[in-house]
Amino acid sequence: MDKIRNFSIIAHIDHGKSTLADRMLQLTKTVGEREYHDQMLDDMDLERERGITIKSHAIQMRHTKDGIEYKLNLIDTPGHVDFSYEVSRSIAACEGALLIVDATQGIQAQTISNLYMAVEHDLEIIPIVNKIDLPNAMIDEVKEQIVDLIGCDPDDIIEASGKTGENVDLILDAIIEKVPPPEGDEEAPLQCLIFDSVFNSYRGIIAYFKIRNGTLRKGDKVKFFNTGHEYKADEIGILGMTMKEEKELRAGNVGYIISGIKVSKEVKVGDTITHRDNPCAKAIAGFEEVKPMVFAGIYPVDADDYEDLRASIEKLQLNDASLTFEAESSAALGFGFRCGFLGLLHMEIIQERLDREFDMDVITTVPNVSYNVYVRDGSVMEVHNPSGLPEATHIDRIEEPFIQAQIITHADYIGPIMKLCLDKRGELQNQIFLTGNRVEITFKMPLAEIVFDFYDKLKSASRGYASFDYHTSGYRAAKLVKLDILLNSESVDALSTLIHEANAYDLGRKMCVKLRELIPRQQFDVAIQAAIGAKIIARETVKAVRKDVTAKCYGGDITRKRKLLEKQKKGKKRMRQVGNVEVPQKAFLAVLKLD
Amino acid sequence: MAGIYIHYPFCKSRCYYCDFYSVTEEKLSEAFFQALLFELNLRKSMLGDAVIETIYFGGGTPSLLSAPKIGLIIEEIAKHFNIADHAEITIEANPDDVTSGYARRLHEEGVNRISLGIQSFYNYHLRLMNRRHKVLKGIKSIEIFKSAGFDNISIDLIYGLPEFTLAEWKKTLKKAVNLDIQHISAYHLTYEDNTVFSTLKKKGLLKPVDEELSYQQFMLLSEFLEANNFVHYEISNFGHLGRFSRHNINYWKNIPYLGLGPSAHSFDGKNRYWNDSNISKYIRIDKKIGDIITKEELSAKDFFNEYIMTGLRTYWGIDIDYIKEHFSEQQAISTERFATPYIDSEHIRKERNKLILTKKGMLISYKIIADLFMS
Ligand SMILES: Nc1nc2c(ncn2[C@@H]2O[C@H](COP(=O)(O)OP(=O)(O)OP(=O)(O)O)[C@@H](O)[C@H]2O)c(=O)[nH]1
Ligand SMILES: C[S@@+](CC[C@H](N)C(=O)[O-])C[C@H]1O[C@@H](n2cnc3c(N)ncnc32)[C@H](O)[C@@H]1O
Ligand code: SF4
Ligand SMILES: [Mg+2]
Repeated sequence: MDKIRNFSIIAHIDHGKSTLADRMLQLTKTVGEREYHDQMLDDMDLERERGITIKSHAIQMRHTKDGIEYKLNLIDTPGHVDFSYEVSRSIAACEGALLIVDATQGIQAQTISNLYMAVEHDLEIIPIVNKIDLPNAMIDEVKEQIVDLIGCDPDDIIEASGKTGENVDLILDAIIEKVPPPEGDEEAPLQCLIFDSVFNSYRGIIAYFKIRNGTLRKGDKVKFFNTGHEYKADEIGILGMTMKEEKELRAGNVGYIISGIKVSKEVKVGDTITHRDNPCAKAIAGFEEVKPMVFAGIYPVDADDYEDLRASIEKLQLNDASLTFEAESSAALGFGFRCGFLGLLHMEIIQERLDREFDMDVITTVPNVSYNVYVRDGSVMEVHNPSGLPEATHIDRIEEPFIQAQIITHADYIGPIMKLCLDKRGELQNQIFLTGNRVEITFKMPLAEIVFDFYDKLKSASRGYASFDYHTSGYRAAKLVKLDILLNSESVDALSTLIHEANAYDLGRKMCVKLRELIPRQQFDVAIQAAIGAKIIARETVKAVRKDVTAKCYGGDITRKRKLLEKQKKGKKRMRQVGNVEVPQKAFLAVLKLD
Repeated sequence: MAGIYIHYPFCKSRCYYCDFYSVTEEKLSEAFFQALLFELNLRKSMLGDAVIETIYFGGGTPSLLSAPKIGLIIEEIAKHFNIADHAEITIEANPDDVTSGYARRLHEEGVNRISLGIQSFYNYHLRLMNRRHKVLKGIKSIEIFKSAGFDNISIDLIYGLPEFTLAEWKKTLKKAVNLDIQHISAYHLTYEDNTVFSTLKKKGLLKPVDEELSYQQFMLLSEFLEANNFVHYEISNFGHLGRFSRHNINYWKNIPYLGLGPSAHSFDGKNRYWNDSNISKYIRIDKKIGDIITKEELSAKDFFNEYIMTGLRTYWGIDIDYIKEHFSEQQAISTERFATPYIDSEHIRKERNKLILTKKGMLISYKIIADLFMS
């Protein structure tokens, strides 16, 4: 066990975790030269295309120091705030963490929040200034920031470049020297923490775990503590570039288990695996259930695909415990699911994965946060769908979730960022000057406000020089109204939103304008109205088409015309019928792209 | 019953709106002529022993072919096929090419229908479109054909041109009616890809007329010609009774036709074929044939969609009973269902078992046809 090191890499988004992991894989010869490509661990196409890590990835490397070979289990984690739960789970399986800071960027909002997570779990931190090969690297300044943050000795900070590989060997040595080996008793009753699971269409569900105590052997009868289900360990092994089967795994190791589980619900990330016949006394304190922050409806484009969509979402949920869903229906969109996401990037990614991995065409509705609605009869309801709101007369008050937001930026941009946050109903909490001219601003603001176009606005207010992180911080009473959209006088449930009273007029007007652009002209006028209750607050009209391409002479060339019109028909399939009006699918997400 | 179409792919100059296949290298004309006769021999079996009801010389500018050559082609067709006694034999003619000698000779060779590319009665329009002729020559050519004995003359007109006023259009239509012709094809200008007009439009140098004006011009066209003895039998076609274009009507009725020449299309009852739009390949047709023809077998869905498309464009409309019989009960039901909103909005008229586009409907025919397609 003393030859095992479990560690993860934490950093702000894009500070170079995955690139550094690539270098370590090469240096330890975990991947051969021929199989190598960039972003080795990001195995989803989506990750490679976007250059971001979405899921954690675990891999075992071997490294020899002073003649002794060590097993290093690396867990690469995502940097984006939406996926911080992935970070928290990886951290729970590790004893150490590399804290990476981009030498050209300095400490950013998520560097700090991820670091705090690591510290909470008593992880040994190895600080690294990365990207030192860049001409605009501010090595000394960033080292100073790190010292300020974690109080380490400046000499302990490794200056490295994931790109050139400079000093990556020092990092490997430091991992062996500084990260403590896992503790645990190989002879004690088995106790494994499930920190992730993936679905494989041939093998079923594969759970990744770290063994705290005991020894797991192939063929063992095991029990999942929380669900109570029992299985046989058909195959166990470690995670190299591919899965490597093993006969037994001892305490301290990170590995996988395949036990013929087909149903996603049976594997709960955070659950404990133990032996059926000699169980451990109690489960490892698992993870807090991740709470979705943003909710939206997902509907199949083709109503016949409803069951397929359910199966696909279930499979995604296997890889992604943070995704929640329940069935719902909409007059405009038919049967679908109300899904909970960690944030907007998460939502976007789920939608894209449904498309790519499951070939599901879906419509996503306007996202909203979850509200606590206090009803007159004294009960409290959690409402995450505008249509779920009780009648106004029954409502005592509504509370909305708040967040504590940290923004780190240059002093130059304080003004515009303040203005943005105040416009978004934010309250300034604190403002600290960090090293140099960097400032950390803390705001309390409604979560709902960052669901709509906050990131884009922050980016332009700061010319890209602002990093943002948040965590939830309770609920507060809010004056909310339900904003409805009507098309030719029929209310479109999928376009309703819950919104703060003060913003309703503005949003209603903008939605009408946007919908006017998106709804194609039909053979009659289409009236688009925004309403609060019975009161119409905005109106636009899509004028009827009077004429389309009037047929020209096409002689015997019937095929081309037919194909042209068939294409037009295909485009139509992507429309939804609301009353007598055809609405393109993208209209249901239109409110997100308002300016 | 069958038709033959001959595509003559040469023009003296190219009109700015036109995307029909033609080149200006007339020196290839002789080689084309030989290749055409070769193709006719090669592909005649496609029509079996069907009687030829219609022959159509289109283009391009087939009036650049001498009358004797036209005669030779007809003769060659007659060698291999039975041409019906009252076959319709049409040639598209550009006014510049028309002389009384030419007209007389065409008549002698058996041509009995003329489609004249008049396009407009305003010289500034003709210049804008890069047409070769002027207004007076256009009118004159009609007289020439009449004197040569033709009693089945059609003219092409284009409306919806930039800055074309309703008053100008009204005068145009009056003139057309006074010419005492039997048929008018009136096309709203469309901006086709890769034409001078579409480039000018993209650059903002040509501004398409607004929709409202298009609408009014079309309404005027239809109402005015109907008031003057013309039947509006297809979106763009108007004719005296008994003088509709039989060749075109047969296209819409799934009658087989053999299309010869580059870019020509053929139909044998089951498959559609089209020749490459490439004259240099075409004149080497005797060396390699497979190369220039593409074939596509029509599926049941294709047949249905074509039925909807061609049917709805005509004043005969589509027939629900026919759909029941030739496709399925289910299809008939769904066709009626898709048509209902248009019946409500008066874009489709229901006459017993038939669905027919109203004038308003013709103006949005693309949308309606696509809606009624099988997906
Ligand atoms: N010049 C230079 N560029 C680097 C270095 N390390 C990473 N990069 C670049 O920085 C960008 C982000 O690198 P990644 O390794 O994908 O960052 P990440 O932290 O894994 O990002 P997320 O997983 O999305 O949080 C890429 O364009 C890398 O090529 C380095 O040491 N030097
Ligand atoms: C096959 S074309 C040309 C026939 C002959 N070469 C001529 O120019 O008279 C038949 C008719 O289609 C019409 N046409 C061609 N392109 C058009 C366009 N882009 N818009 C409207 N009408 C068009 C013209 O009226 C033209 O006369
Ligand atoms: S309209 Fe007729 S003459 Fe003009 S380019 Fe087209 S085919 Fe040739
Ligand atoms: Mg990464």
